[in-house]
Amino acid sequence: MSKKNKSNILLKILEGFINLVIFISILQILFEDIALIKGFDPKLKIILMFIGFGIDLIFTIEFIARSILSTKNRGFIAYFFYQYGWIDFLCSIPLLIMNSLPSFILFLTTKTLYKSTVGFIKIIRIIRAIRITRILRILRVLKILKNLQNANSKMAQNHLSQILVIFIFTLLISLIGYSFISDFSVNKMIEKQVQTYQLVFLGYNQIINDFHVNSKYDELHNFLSKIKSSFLVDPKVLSVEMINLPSQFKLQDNLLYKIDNFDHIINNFSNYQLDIGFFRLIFSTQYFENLKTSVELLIFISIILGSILFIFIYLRSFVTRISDIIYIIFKGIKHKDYFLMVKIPENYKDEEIFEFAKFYNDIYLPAKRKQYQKTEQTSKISIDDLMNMDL
Amino acid sequence: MAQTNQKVDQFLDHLLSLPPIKKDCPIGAEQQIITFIKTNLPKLEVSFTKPEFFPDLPPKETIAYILSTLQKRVVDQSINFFKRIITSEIDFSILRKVRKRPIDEDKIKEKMINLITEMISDPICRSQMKPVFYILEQKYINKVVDLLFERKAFTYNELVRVQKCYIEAPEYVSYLKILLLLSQFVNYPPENKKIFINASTNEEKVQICNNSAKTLVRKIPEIDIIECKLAIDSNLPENLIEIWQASSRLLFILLHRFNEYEPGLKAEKGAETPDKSWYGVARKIAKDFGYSKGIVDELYLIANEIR
Repeated sequence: MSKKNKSNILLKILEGFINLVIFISILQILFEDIALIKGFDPKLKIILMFIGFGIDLIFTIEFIARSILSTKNRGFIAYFFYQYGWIDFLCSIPLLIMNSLPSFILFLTTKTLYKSTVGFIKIIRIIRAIRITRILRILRVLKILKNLQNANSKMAQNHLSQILVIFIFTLLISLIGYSFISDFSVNKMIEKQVQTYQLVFLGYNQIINDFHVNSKYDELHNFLSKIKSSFLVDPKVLSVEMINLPSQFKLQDNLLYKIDNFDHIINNFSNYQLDIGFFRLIFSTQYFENLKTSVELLIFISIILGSILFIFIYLRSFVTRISDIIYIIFKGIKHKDYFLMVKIPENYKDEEIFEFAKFYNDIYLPAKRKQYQKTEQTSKISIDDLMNMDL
Repeated sequence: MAQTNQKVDQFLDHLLSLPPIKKDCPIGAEQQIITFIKTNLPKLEVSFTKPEFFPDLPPKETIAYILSTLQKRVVDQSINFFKRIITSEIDFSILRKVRKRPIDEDKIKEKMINLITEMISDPICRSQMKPVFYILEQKYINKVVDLLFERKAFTYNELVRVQKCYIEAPEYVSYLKILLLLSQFVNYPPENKKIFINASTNEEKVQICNNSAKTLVRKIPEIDIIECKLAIDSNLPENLIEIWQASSRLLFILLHRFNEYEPGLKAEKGAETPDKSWYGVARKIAKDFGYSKGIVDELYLIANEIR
């Protein structure tokens, strides 16, 4: 095997590997968000964190390698600005430095998970989805688009990549805009919830004080039983503990309310502790986190589905209505004995490309045919065909 | 010698099984191999002296031996093919119906087989039989005639009414196959002073065809001069034949189509099929190439239904 063949095979293996990593990275983002919403086991979250770190590391190495190689070819600028190097960059170094590396180091040193990913960085992870365009090559290999002769044409892929980048960035900008609206921020929502609880529990405090002043301890017990049932209707309330109670109350158990799977929720979901007078309230903030994550997940799924639809619908349309036609005409101009006509669909015959194809069919090919003389016949067999002969 | 025979056979088996010519008909494959040997002669002469090839024979003798073995194979295969067509795919009784006179079908078959055997044995004539082989192999006439008779449009009108040949589609298939088989008699040197493919002017072409038709009718007197003329004139462009010769005009187009036929050529995405493309271009250059515009237009319209 020649050196060139070997390096081509190696290049194909590497390309295949990177495509696989892109595919895994999409799944990783998807699972990470689902794990957050569904409160998956921390072990799974650790695995996902490790995978995320591995992906960012691989993409970083790939970006650096491509950057170095680009200096030998068309230059770094060409790679960075015209061959989507900037996407490779966004998907690698910032994510590694600001997200997965700190999480990784934190876990190695403290064995705890780095919970709060910076919002913008979290959004930028979705940029990884842009690299789905590279998966076009996988699709070609899988022959999913086997009916599309020129699905692997550079022009088709570049146009589709450009459209996908615009599509994905539109959604991302919307998401970033959404994250900047303070009313939709998780902290703001928690703040509002805290205010609501404060109002309610300050009222309870007032009533308890009244009972205390009037020494109505039996009524106090009844009152506490009543408010206990009101916590049941609010799934965000995880536990309510009585604190700083006057000694005359003699409550057997200071714990007023606690949900059944309290420990699991405390360990796997985010929560907030609030002391209001006689009460210590622990409520789940996961609901608000979930709202935020759901929006991100929705955008991410929209990106993936949108990209797939673009690949199957737009790419198909582009290939059958542009690149196939160019391919046939180019072949007809290049090869003297190629006389296949371009197929012109009735519905699109007014489009410029098909008008051009009509000119090729009706004027160029007949003129070429008139000129064409089948002179010296060339054989379809070559001397190389004898090389591997075993007589 | 036996070892050399075996090696030559293996050598030819190898060449004939190569993907680029695997799907060619024997005549097409022979042309490819001859061209290959011609273009690579110096290299082959060196290679053939190597121990793994034919070290015991001088290279020129080796090549001559290879070519004669190839020719024998191709002639045998082609004769078998045409024999099968003549004996099992053509109903010669149609000649009786068309000319309204008694004929001995078995005698015509026998004479046709003998004539085709002679023609195939001649290298020049054989090479001109390539499109005939493909047309018959593909059952192209069957498909085309069925479609044309179904449409009952221009070509049907020309074949039936203008040519005054009032027969049904299956009969016309046999009729055209007989004409097609005889068409290359004009390129059979032993029976023609000058063969058609060497003619340079139109007058010469017409002259050769007229003489050839007369020679043909002498060879097989059971076949009428009209059929001989229709068969031979299918080598002539529209402007050099008479208006009633619709069969010749149709066969002229088909012979040209299959002269450029590439077996196994797949339809490319975004392109018309090879047939549709060929007729599409042919209708634009019909006048220059002598194709009947009406017939080629109709063939263009039915091109995608033919296969």
